[in-house]
Amino acid sequence: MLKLIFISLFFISIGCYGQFTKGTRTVGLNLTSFNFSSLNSSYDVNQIGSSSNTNNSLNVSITPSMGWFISEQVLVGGSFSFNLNNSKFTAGNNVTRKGNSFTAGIGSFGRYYFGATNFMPYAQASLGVSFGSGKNTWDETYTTYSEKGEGNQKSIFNINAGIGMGLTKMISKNTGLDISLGYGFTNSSFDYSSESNIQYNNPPSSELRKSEYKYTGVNHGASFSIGFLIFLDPK
Amino acid sequence: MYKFASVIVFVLLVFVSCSQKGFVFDGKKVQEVKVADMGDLYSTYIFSKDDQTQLSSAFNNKSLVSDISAYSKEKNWPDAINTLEKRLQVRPTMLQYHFYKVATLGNKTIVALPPDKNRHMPAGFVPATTIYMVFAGKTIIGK
Repeated sequence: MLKLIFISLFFISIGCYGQFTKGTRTVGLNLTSFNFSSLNSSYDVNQIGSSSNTNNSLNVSITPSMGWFISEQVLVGGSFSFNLNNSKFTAGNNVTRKGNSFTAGIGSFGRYYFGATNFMPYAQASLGVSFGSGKNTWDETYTTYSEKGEGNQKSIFNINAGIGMGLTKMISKNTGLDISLGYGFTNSSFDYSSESNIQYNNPPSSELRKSEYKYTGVNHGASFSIGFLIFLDPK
Repeated sequence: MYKFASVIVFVLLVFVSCSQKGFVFDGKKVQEVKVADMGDLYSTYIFSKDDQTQLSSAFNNKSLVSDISAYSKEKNWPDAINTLEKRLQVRPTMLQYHFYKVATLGNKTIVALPPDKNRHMPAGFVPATTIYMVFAGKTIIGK
């Protein structure tokens, strides 16, 4: 499906011609991801009964940007990025886990427009970095013990790179609706530390459990973005 | 100009094609599998000398045997699943992990849970490093 969309964008681009004026500036705001999910699931086993889990999560990423046409078809610019994650997980009445993280960053992009009609296809490459932190907490009660804990993600550092193709559809003289599909890589790292207190029922006793690790990993995948782009005439 | 656009489209298609499901383990791409019953999990499996010899002969990278031995124990799993009581409560969610079959030991199957393939899991479920689980072979289903 994704391949078909890319191929369609390519063929649309072939049919378009036109040019911008060098020095035209742009201001934009893109929603690079928005995901809300609510998942309920249950598991029944004859010997041990049933358990039900609920997970609600929200992820929002927005990217304001500014750009300049350095030639009639090439737009270069800079952008900010803000990403928010929030989740709550429950299992029955006795397990609650909450997590949230926030990252903010800066980036740059280069865009090549194949036309300047009402319907303007383009190819784009981008590069950026972002920083942030996160936290998760848990509160759990079982038959033999209970546990409360808190974990912290510190020094989140992401390096993002991506390429893609998109379309800017002019909806007024100076405003365009911007839609793009792309493929991106993110190299992510953070330090994690957690501490939890465990209270045992029989015999009554407690234990403090700590853990620490450093995470580094690479994620890659397709992305979709939608937003608005305002074209400002050269001064 | 069109040549440039064709190159971009080609590169995008290559990336999309390369992003198919799979996990590289011991230099080979291993396939994702499903777990039919989380009750068939061995959480503290002790690898015998024979098991270790068998795994060692199957892998190019011999250090993977000690990784599997260490990270297939519940104490090294993420906070949300590191005791039986916890797992009994969160079995429906554990089924949402992405499992990759890496080895077979008689009637048991070893699966890997890489962190990069399991970022979608709720807080407390995402492994810090690749962890492993030993299941009864009958509960593992190809995807």
